[in-house]
Amino acid sequence: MLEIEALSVAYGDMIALEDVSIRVDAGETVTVLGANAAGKSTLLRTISGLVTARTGTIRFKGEMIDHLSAHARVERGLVLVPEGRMVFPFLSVEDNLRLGAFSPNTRAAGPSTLERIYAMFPRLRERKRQMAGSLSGGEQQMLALGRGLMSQPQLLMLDEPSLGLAPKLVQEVMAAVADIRDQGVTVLIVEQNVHQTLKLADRGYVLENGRLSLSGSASELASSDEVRRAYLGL
Amino acid sequence: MLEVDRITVDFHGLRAVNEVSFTLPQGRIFGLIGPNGAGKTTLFNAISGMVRPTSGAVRLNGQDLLRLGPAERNRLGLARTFQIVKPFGGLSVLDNVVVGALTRGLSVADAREMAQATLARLEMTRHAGAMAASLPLALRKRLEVARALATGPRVLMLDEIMGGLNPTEVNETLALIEALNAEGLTLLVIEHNMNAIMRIAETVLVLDGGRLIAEGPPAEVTRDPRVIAVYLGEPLEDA
Repeated sequence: MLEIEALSVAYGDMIALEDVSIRVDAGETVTVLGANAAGKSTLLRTISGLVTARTGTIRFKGEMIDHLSAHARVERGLVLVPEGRMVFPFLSVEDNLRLGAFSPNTRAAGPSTLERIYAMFPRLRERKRQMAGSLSGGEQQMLALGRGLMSQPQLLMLDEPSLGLAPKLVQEVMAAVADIRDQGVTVLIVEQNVHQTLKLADRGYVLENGRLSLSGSASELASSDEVRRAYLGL
Repeated sequence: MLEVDRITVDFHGLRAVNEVSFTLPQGRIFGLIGPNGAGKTTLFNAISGMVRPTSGAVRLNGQDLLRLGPAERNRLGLARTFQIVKPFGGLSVLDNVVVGALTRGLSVADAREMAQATLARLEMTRHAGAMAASLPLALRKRLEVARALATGPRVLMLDEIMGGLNPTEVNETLALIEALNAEGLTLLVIEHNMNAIMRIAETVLVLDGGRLIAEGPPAEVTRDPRVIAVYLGEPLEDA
């Protein structure tokens, strides 16, 4: 579904990604592990079209999408839930969600998708008229996820969905991601909550200083000495 | 010793912190946990002087802090970090920490030396020349710690500095906190990472809906059914 070949990204002189090739097949859940500043967020932002690659190619459902704007990628079903939630604080919860279904091809189904999301996160329905900025951190994370789902993703990219959440909410968010996966959505997830993410994922890649250092099935990674030492704190 | 005595904070009719009292003895590490929106950061704000409580008192080594502003409280030895990081984005990492050190009344040269030593201690020397705004979030959080430490605190309050760190980075941060504590620093730590809190805090305070609902050793608090219901969701696994 997603094929990335020899991707390199730089901010000025600073090389953020170098020669990164990954693939995500339809229906898979794939994680990217790595230390802080390893390039994980840059990778997701480049796939979404928010950052321009210096070299390399990105193919989505067989089509080269390098030249497409971020919103055109969303229309094709490639959706990012960004780190730090990035909800519109002065819009209501419901308006934030409706903006997720802004593309013409998702707008018609918007009301029924909205119902599905309210069923998944009843808290959002309770607060639908409230301004998004007045939600707690965890509720804003649900809203960001809900907004991403409103875009009817075929590939959903999640950047640190559990950041700043209390343990109970982390479980709820991870359960919601598992639900989304079970509904057939392909998921690419970056998450420092490595233990739980490896339980959720089929496969993973490890990024180190902008380069891929390792890849394998989730269970291979969980038992790899290198991963255990570097990321699992064991 | 930090004493929080029946502190209440109201925001336009919303009681964010409700009659919270605890005593943090010198040289100890206390953890502060609770669901999102429980009032943890508001309590930090009341202790550090960022918001004025509706009622109650805060005392540091017996001295009443309530009429003092944040800068005066800092001069008495109270420092904090911010969960929503607040670096001087257009200054270098080093200069951010120099600003902290200058609050001690040092000369600029001495403040610079102190700042360099602080960065070395936090293993941030290689980032010293970078613009603060250009650092990834986890390093901006560490910069918060560096700037607070450079003010020379006796009590340091940390607001979720380990969010976004992987377990190995968490271990490094815990080792640093333990080393600072061994040198006599008293700490109050907000953190959602329960494995981290369990390892450093001898007492854990639990807030829910602005009220202190539990207080005690971590192993005890995490078995409290109420804490499990509102915060943990399920009992902690032995990790």
